[in-house]
Amino acid sequence: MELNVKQEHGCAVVAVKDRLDTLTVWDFEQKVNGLIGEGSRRFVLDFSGLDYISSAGLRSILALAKKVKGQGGGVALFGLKGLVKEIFAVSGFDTVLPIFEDEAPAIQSFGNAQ
Amino acid sequence: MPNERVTRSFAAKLGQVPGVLEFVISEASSRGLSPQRLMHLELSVEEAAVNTCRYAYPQGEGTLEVSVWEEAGHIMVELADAGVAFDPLAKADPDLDQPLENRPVGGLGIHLIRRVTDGVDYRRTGDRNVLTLAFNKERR
Repeated sequence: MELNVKQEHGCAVVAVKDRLDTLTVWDFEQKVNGLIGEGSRRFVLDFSGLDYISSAGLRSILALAKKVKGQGGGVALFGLKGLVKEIFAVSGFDTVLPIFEDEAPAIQSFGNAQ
Repeated sequence: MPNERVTRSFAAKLGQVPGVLEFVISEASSRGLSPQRLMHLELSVEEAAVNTCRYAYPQGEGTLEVSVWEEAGHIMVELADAGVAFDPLAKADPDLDQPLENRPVGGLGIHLIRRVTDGVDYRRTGDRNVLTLAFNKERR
């Protein structure tokens, strides 16, 4: 798994590449918890380079969303494709998390930028 | 020959899961499972293998026996362990209509397994847990 972070209009845009599964989820959680510690509350997850996600990955995204929602933030995703898109549909996660085609609408979904 | 049943034993540790996945993917691929279904297979075997590694042997070490064969147009994968009795299918499916705040975290892995396979069977025989997954070669 590869993680890249950039700050854009008050959002932490986290690009997750390759796999988000049992073995890689710990690194993902370390990264986002670190960003929360630095004050990030609005997360945009770039899944355009993500090929595979298992329930461990879904759980970690759900945990992130629950954590930041309670503090006025949220999680938006974009770029889902292939198996990842299918798994989000099959698990019903596509109805509780906002999913977009591109980065710009995902960022804009948070309303007025800081 | 792809018609035979192959079995391999793995230590039931999380670090072995990539090896398990590599084994089942290779054997299923040589038996003609499509790339799309191979991802379903990978996902469901990961879920099942991780469960075993986490819960089957609370006292320490144990093995996970993985078998692959073809039967009636289906690729079959069996995961067997000699751990504590644990029926992964006994958990209720997660409530998918709940909003984010109320969404329970449990049951997700099993739900995914059911959706991406064409059959799941659990049985406890003697002192072994045996989970069998079926993948219809015709389905894309």
